[in-house]
Parts: sequence; C-alpha cells; structure tokens
Amino acid sequence: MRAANALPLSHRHAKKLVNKHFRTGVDPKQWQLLKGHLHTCPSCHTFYEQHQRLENILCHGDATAIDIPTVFQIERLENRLLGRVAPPTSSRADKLWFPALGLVSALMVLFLVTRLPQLESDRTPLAATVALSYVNIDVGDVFQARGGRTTKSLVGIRVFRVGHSDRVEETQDTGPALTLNDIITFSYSSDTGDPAHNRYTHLTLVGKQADGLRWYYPSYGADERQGIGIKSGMVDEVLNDGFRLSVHHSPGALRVYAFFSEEALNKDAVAEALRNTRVPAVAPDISALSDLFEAVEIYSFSTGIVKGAP
Amino acid sequence: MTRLVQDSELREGFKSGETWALSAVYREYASPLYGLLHRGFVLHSAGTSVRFRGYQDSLSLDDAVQEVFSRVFTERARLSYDGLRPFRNYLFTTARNYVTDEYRRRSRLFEPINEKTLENAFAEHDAMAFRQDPEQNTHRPDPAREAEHRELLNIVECFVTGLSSEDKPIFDMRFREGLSVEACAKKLGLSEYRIKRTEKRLRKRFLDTMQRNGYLEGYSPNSKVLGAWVVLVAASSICHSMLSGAGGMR
Repeated sequence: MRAANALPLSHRHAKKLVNKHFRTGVDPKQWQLLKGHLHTCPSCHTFYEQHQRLENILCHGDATAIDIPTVFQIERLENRLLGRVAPPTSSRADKLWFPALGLVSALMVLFLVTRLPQLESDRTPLAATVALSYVNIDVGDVFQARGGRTTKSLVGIRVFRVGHSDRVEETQDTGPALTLNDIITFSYSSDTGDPAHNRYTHLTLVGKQADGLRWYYPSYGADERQGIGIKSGMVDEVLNDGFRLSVHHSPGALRVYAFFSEEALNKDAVAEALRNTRVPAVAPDISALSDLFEAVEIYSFSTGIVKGAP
Repeated sequence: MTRLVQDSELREGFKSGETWALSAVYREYASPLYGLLHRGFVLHSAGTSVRFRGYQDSLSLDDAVQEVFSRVFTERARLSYDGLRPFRNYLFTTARNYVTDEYRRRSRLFEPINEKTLENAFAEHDAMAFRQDPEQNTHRPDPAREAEHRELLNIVECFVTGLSSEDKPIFDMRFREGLSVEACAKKLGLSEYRIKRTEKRLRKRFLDTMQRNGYLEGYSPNSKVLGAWVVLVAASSICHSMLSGAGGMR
C-alpha cells in the first residue's frame, strides 16, 4: 500500500512537501502522499528527520529529544487530525457562524491615507523584481461564540506596497507613507480557526473613497457571479494583482472592503453586503499604530454575518 | 490528568465531537502519548511477552500519535468512553492496541523478553509506561555525533544571540516555552498576525542559516515567494484590464 502511495511523488516534489510541512503544514491528502513516499525513500526520510532535528534543537536545545514534541509539531498534527476526524456539523462555531449555505462573512478593513499627493493618471507596469513592504497590519479577528468559548480566527486581508528591489525580500513594518505613485497589493487569510470549517473559497474586494466607489475586484457584468478564487484555511497568501493608486484614486482616505464568501457573489450580493456593512465609530487600534506608517491609520473589525446572494 | 473526568462541559463536547473539545483533549494528552510511544512498553500477545522498543524516528512517531488520536476521536470510541476512568489510561490502552495491531503486521520493532527484563521494565509513575531499554541507557558516546551536536548547538546559540530585542521575546515564548500563538500574543500585547509573521521570518532565517552551514540540502526557502512574484509580474496585464473596468458598480 505504501509503495502505491509513493508512486505519484518525485523526490523533488517530496522535498518541497517536506519544506512546506515544516513551514506551514500540509493538508491531510498531501500528508498521506508524503508519508507514503517517506516510508519508502531513505533519502527523503533523512531530509525529513533532519528538518525535525533542527526544529527540536531550536525549540528544546536537543536534536535528539524526539519524545518531547515541539509546539509546532503539536500544531501541525492537530491541524491534520482535526481536519480529518471532526464531524462537519458539530462545532459551536459552526452553529453560530455558518447557519446556512450562502451566508457571507464580511470583514472590512479601513485604511486612511492622509498624505497622498496630486492625482496622477499614468500607470507603470510592474518591474521584473519587486519587493513587498507592509502597509497595513493585523486584521486578525476572534469570533466570539455565545457561551464564552472563542474560536481563533485569521480571516482578513493585509495591504502591501509593491516596491522595486534587486531581490525579493520580506521587509519590516516600517517605511514611508503611501503616495499615489505606489502600487498596492493584498494578501488574504482565510483560516477560521477551525480546520473542519474553513469554507471560504471566494474573496471580493471593493475600494471606496469619500466620493464613492473607486473599484471592485473582480469586476462584474450584469448577472455574473464572480470572486477571487481563494484557498480556505490559508494565512497570508499573496494575491497576484496590484493597484496603482494614481489610477482612479484621489488624495484622502481609501477604504478597502473584503468580503469572504463560500460561493462566488453576483453584483447584487456585493451591493447588499456593502449596504449592510457599517463603519463603526471606533478609534484606531492604538497598539497597532506603532507598527504603522505615520500617515496611515488602520481600523480593522468584523461586521459578522450579512445576507449573501439571493 | 483527569480533566475529562472533572470538566463535564469538556466531556460532553468531546462525546459529541465538537472541534474545540477535541482540540483541548488533544493538547492535553499529546505530549504524554509522544513520550509513551517513544519510550516503548511491554506487550503480551498470543501468550508471548514482547518488548516494544518504541518509535525512534519522528515520522513514525508522528504517524503513530496521529493514528491513536484518530482512533479515540472516532464517534464509537468517543461514545464508549465512560467519563469515569482517567482518559490518559483510555488513550494509552488505545495506543497499546494500535501497537499490538502493528506487531501483528511487523516484527522488527519487537524482541522477546524474559520475566526479569519485564520487571525491570515497569515505570515508577505509570503502570502502563515502561523504562527505556537498559541497553539504550548504557550507550557509549559517539565522538563524531557529539561533535556534530556541539556544532549544531553553537550555530543555534549564535542564531539566538543575534535575535533583535523585538524578536527575542516572541522566540522565547513560541519556540522555547511552546506557548500558543494566542497566548503569546496576549502576553506580549501584540497581534496574532505579528506573532505568526515573526515566527515565520525567524524560522526562515534559521533554516537559511542552517543551509549556509551545510545542513538541509534541498531546502528551497524562496521558491514560493519568487513563484508568487513571477505570477504577479505576469499578471500585471490582468491588473491593467481590471483597473480599466473600475467603477462599474456606481
């Protein structure tokens, strides 16, 4: 049986999966494939064990302490385990947050750009080498269920400036304020905190300024249902599109609404979600401000459930 | 270790298979199970006493822990747990049954034992856990291995010493103390995103360091990021057309 499992994986693919396993974890199907391969391939198995040894020495100061699992080992196994065995309709979070198919959870991110220069109409293609620089942080949310139990949730988006660099690198949370010359892009997280119920498969983004809607992504035809296809249960996956702020944007605040849904939405559903989403009168998250550019203020909150597509 | 006996809400949640309850049970008992399945124990099967040496590699150990929890998390097993016996015993019995099943399929992990070995094998604190193989305790040190271990420790120490003052508390709590992301964020007054991002960055930096020092041949840290940006550049034309259609909902 193991030999049969091992067939579909090349050594290269197996090593990639091992890297992924130790970086972010693999889903149960990938784990089965990987496991089948590792049991029959000594070199990939060694590679796996080497990774684990390094994790052990980093966490416990002892590479051979395999009887004491690292916190990451515990979390990886928990994700696989609960993703596999949990019954699909039994959690409290499920009862509260997924009452019917088609409901949409709207999570709104508001960021105010206060120092935008004059509007420019030109648009420049992205350079071959670009770097991401954080503009916005922390749209993590906690879904509070009745009864006091909370389910950790990381559902939301983050905004990045697309920079130019000789090499791709992850940058820190500091940097100059956004200008209209900047290109922004987004990453999304769709981890509801409950592996058995990570159902978000579509994302719709809407950009709004004081004088009205600026853009929506994806764009909609009359009766089309659309949405950015996303993977559920992900954290910080970068989208592959960017917006040049000089196009269709004016100096001033820009609000980005992110609607996560279980199915593609049509124009009416997005319009209704927008109507039902209210910006509460809340102060910026002060603790987050130290992480932000001085000219950008972030508000992040969840509006909970709104009615979805008819 | 009697949390399931004492906490009726947890017990009911566990019995009905609610995810939060399964998660809590798993977190509570994962570490002892790892210990048991690594240390090994004595089995009696078909009139023969055999000593299970324990899983000595991480992959098999992970696999076994997952399989045992999968068994106790099935509906039938959950409902058959009476809530009176300590759950740890119930879990360990399931583990022994799992290993017995494995024993029937494989034999190289087992060796026959006599009664004296059996007596020596009992652990002091747990009727079901057994001491490590005396042979393992008298292993002579391997100079090459010890040198490698020292080198590894040096690299890790250099890495830890080089951490910034912002990263160090996160590293200590997540990597060394094993706190959850949630607990760590709460303790440090930071967002969970911040913790996860820092953790990801530290892990990447550590693996890069190890690779530069000759470990992890085949580790490709940037493939995903590079791949994403290749797609990004290629998708700039899509972005162009997308922006051209902006304002369509007005």
